[in-house]
Amino acid sequence: MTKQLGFLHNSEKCVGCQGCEMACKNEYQTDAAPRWRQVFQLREEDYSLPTRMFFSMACNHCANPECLRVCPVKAYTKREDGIVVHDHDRCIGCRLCLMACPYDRPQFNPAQKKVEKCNLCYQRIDKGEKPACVAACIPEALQLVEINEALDQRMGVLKTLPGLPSPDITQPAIRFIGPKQGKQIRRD
Amino acid sequence: MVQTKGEVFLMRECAEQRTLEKYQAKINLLLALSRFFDQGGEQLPKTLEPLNKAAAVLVQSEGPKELESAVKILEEYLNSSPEVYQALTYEFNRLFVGPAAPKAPPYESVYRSAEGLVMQEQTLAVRKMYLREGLHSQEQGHEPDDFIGTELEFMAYLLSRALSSQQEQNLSAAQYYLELHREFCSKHMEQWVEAFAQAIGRSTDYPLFTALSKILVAGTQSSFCK
Amino acid sequence: MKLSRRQFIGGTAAAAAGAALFNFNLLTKSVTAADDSLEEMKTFRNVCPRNCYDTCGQISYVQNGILKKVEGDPKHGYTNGKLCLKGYTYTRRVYSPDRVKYPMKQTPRGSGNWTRISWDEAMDTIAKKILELKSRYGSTLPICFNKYSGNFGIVHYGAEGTMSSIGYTTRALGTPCWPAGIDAQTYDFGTLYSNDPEDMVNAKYLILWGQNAAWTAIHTLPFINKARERGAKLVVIDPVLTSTASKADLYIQINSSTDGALALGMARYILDNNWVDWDYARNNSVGFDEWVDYLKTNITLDWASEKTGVPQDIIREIAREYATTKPASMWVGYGMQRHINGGQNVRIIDALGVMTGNVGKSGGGVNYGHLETWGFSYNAMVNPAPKGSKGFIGPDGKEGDRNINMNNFAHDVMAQNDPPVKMLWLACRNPGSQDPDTNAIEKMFAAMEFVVTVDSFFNKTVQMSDIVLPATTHFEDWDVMASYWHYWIGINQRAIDPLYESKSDVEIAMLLSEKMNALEPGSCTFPTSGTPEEWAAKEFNPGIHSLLGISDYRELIEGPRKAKMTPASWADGKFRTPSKKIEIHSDLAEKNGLPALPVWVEDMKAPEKYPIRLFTPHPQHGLHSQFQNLDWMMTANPEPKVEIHPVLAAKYGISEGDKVKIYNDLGSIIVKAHLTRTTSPEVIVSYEAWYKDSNFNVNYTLKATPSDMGKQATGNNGVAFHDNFVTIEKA
Repeated sequence: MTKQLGFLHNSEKCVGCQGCEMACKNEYQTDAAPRWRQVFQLREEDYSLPTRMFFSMACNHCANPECLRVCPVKAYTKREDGIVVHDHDRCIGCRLCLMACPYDRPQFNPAQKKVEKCNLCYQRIDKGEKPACVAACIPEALQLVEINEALDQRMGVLKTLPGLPSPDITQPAIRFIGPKQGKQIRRD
Repeated sequence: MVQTKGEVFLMRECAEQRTLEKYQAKINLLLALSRFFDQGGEQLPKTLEPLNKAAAVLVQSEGPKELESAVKILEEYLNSSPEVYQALTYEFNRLFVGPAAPKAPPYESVYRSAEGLVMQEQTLAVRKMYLREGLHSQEQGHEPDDFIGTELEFMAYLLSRALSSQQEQNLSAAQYYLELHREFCSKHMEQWVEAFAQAIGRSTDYPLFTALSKILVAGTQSSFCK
Repeated sequence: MKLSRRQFIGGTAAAAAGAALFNFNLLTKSVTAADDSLEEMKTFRNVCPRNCYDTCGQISYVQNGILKKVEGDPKHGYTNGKLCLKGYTYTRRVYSPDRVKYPMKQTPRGSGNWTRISWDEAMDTIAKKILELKSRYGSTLPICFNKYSGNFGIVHYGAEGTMSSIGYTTRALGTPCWPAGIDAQTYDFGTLYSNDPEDMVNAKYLILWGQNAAWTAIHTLPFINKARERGAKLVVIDPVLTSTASKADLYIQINSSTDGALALGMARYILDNNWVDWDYARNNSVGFDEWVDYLKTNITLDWASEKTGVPQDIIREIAREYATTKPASMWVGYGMQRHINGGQNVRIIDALGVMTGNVGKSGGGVNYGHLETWGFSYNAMVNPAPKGSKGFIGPDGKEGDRNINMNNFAHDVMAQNDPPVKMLWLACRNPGSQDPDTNAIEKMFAAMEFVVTVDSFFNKTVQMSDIVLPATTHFEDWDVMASYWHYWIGINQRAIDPLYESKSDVEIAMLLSEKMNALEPGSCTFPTSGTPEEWAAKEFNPGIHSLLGISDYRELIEGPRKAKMTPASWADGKFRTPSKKIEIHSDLAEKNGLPALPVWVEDMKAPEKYPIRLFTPHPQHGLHSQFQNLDWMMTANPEPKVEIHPVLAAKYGISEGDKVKIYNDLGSIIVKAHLTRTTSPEVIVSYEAWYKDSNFNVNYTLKATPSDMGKQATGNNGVAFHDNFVTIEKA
């Protein structure tokens, strides 16, 4: 592997609009149930003030992908650029990967009885385009980045957020910028 | 069209075994079903009788046994009062047309994707198969090409071509159309007709539509050379 | 008239076998050589026609006549090639098997017994009913028309044109959403006219007043963020800590409906510190000093703080910052004017903008919306009444339509006697789910003789109709759209054929006209010819051409255009009031029974029996009753919720996830509780929407209480949607 592509999600900018989620569905015209990308709300109680805070997560294209390790039919491969690609034709729908992934990102399609997931729009990336979700993000909270030392040393870049599993398990290729809370004048 | 020797043999045998009437009966049933769906609930007084007749003929000519009771149910409805026909019209629209979300939308692609949209890849694949025969849906672009009525008519067309080729002693043409018919059945009709029939069955209390769903499934099997 | 194949029944039913004899009924021989290859992907320009600030430029991707996906139009300088979550779901709307596909008739209304009818029969039935009512009552006034914002495409005003062309009818007049604010700005400035939202990047200070851009105008966020990167502070004032408020540098949880009191408190402090732009205010307005006297005599910070629940030091802080950080921009949301004093509160905020000289400035403004780019021909809308038509004689002695209040629709329809209303025609409108007091709406529908609805989905209104006519989506039509927020105009091309037998409002009008004139020559003046593109072309005129710098509408196919206007509204100082100045003192307001000055008007107090305020704001996943029913939305947001503050919830013994009954004298709804401190302790929030397979509707408890303003510019006052009081219990 020559590099590791991944996502940088900025909760300071994200307004939880779910545009990324729908842009992904629009690009691949997926069925309704599988959510390759999903916006999650951070819990109010984990922060000093109650605000609407979000993060958006698709497949994290982990450095040590558990899905790839457990798949009995080798449906998962990891590209030179770090993207973990799932081969839909090979998949037998055994769902071992669903159990293995700490982030619940492989999505089972009940109609096709197979798993599907974000392939980081590698076809678009190979053409020099941004992934559909990144291209659609209006507040520019979601970015495609190369995960490396320099990124991790940037101020404010976090490897995890409260409530997420330890990144040590799979070394996910996602980094976060946590929510910023302004001043609130409240009546409660 | 490349075929294995076995397939050619089987088809010849089939062709020999089956009388022309049996083909004709099958074609008539497909057409009657097609008209039943296409002409809509409002025309049931006109489309039910031909459907019943076609199904009855097929049953008599050693058609699928499970059809027998279904045909009887159809027959019981034939002389329905205008009120009953009216109720059947409403039920037809509730199941297949709308304006409320229909319980059993009569389009292939709806059953072949999880939540069921029209105008999907299956629709286009059906359109392509029509095109191979130089045909297209008269309402292409407006009505989904994989509307049940259109698919049934295409099947009837393929069989009628097979039949006429047979009559003209053009065996290779007959084989070609039989093979195309088989391909269309296996790639399309058989891929969804069961699910469609189930949707009808679990959505209606009217024996007519349950019977119809059974006739539809039995009548659209490609494997009638057994 | 072309016969549809459904009319050939007997002829082809007994099809014979044999290739030569095979009678095709649904299939036909292709004239051209068979080509089963995939076509090249084609792209078309579209514009999202929903009732939304953003009115996005769209590119539709079409292959083999099928809509494959929809993206943002990168040539649109405001929406910048991106869509909101709703915009990305359009394939699900176009190809939903739930669409209304054919004209259908219900007997009896509400029974669920539907018969499919041909367009010809539909038009025949409708035309005969219209003519029969006309002959029974001597006019077409028993026919009542209600159309609003389901599709804001200009050609869709052909729905109004349908009515004009048959005679004088009863019309639901008004707009539910924003009229109080419109009137406020009409009294103050002569009309509503906001800065270019892209100009917000130049603001050094930003106050979003009751505005949740993250949900309702998300494409403005990048411009706000740009301003913040340049150092601007963002203040959000809202009783609810919205997604937008969560991003603010300062969020102020104000008491509902007291925004004017906060603005007055700020004004008093600005006055006391002499941060007033006396030159601007005195040169450009009338009555400013009179208002200053009012501030001095009547307003104290104590009072403002008490009223609003905002501490005095905070009032001082934002007053100082707003008055001294120039330019400062204010964006007044539609939510804050949905109160019995909502228009008056907007007038006070306007005055605050004038006082500080922020009006007419780039990076400033009291921004609410505008209609500057809507100067189309309205060709489809304007048709003369047939000769001899009898109309309603208005107070001015003129004969015309009989206007009733859209915002008290059920009541006003029932109140008509001379002649009574007997028939409804609904287009781009779903009062069954969107109007206040759903029970009253249901009763009123039941009292009608005949109801026609044009729609694409089987919503509550269709459910209560005799005839439903299938409407096209905007991908199946030609049209042109403008925005009431940004300055862009875009053409909307027909990207795909209309599905099934769907038709646009203009196509329906043409068919009806043909039928009515066949039955009674001269009974309808609507033209009977014109392609959809021709109808769109006719909406253009020299004014629009010069505004956009084009000489032909086809130039818009290359990309949307932005109107050639200054970034700051009112930069020329030419106000459109009777005095041509900003009217801090408005004689017109006074004449209409309102205070002449932007003074405090009391808010509505909660009745003892119903102490909780129920907010029903716009949802994130839908636009009114559109979008939420689609499968992708049902996955993203499967069920409605009510947001309750934990303190209030505890008082009523309600826990997270409990079913809660919300009720008052009008009706009740049951919905799942979500406990959150993002709402105020005395306010519960449930977002209006129409979910698939659900009768959930917030309007069962909503009384048609009018807001204070709207009559002047829109014909009727708005609805005080947010002055709705209820109580709750565990269901």
